[in-house]
Amino acid sequence: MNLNRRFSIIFIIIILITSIFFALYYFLIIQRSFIEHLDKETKQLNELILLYEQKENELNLLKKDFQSDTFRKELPKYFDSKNIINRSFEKSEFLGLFKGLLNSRTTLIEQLEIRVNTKFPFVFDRLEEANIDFYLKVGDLIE
Amino acid sequence: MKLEKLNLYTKKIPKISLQKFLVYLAIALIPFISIMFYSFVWSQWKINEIAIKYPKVFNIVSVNDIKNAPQIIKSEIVNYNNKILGITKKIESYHDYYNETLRSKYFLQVLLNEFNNITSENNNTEFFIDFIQLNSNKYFVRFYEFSESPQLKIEDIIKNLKVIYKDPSIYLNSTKTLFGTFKMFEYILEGSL
Repeated sequence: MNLNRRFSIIFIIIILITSIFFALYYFLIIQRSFIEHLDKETKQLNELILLYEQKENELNLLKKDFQSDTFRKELPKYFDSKNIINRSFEKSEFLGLFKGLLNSRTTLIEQLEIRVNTKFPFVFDRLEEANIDFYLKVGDLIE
Repeated sequence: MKLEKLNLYTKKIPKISLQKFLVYLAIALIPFISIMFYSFVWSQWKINEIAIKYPKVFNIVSVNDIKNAPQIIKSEIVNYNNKILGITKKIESYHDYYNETLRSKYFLQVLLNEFNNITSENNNTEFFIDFIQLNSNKYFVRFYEFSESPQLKIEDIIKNLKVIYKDPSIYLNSTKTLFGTFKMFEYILEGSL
């Protein structure tokens, strides 16, 4: 089978030019923009993953810090009802509790009332006999 | 006789065989195939480069499924944004809790620290806290200083308290002579949380 030479050559030239144009268009426009887009989105996701990991570490440190507070752990044994201590203490027991309360970073005081009962104002000699009315309500962390 | 017109059939149409045509067509497609092949190799090379640069992302997205990678990455971006929002709220709740905790006891820490400083410098001065009250919006402390003259540095305490509280106030409520020159000064510390 023979074909018209002129039309065949024109056809081949058209195929050659259009295929080159298509290949260049595919490479320079479609493929490059796909890669650029992928790079940009991957970078964005990578930043988010790093940020999330950083936040996760921060939260773990805060949780660890919160859980490592021994005073907070021991406090429930003094509770008379939920989160409330309402009773009288002797001086030494009170001082231990009060010191712990002030130094604890995780014990939130919601309500506090302390009244020292002693022979006032001559307090110094008889301070060991002091009796302290103590009302404390502590707060809870709500995540 | 002239030998000018040897081609006696001038209107003959030049022809090409189908085999030759196909060979020429194949040759014409070589640049296209080359560019497409180069494009494929280049994209694989770039994808590998991205995968090496961001390994954490490619733990989630498979390199083999690269055609769907943009969609997967987009949904992961949304997913991570939500996760970050959630974790940020949790962190904020911890910080708020720590700040509230500090606010609930800072006035006592400042006051006791001041007492400690004064009594360590001056043996003849003693302090006694009689009453402390704190509720959701106010604090109140009544305390006494036993000394010959007031040693309490009210301005320093106020300055320290103003770091956290808006309107701290501390004032001398009454003075009582106990014996000789030894006096008892009653102070009130109060303010809003």
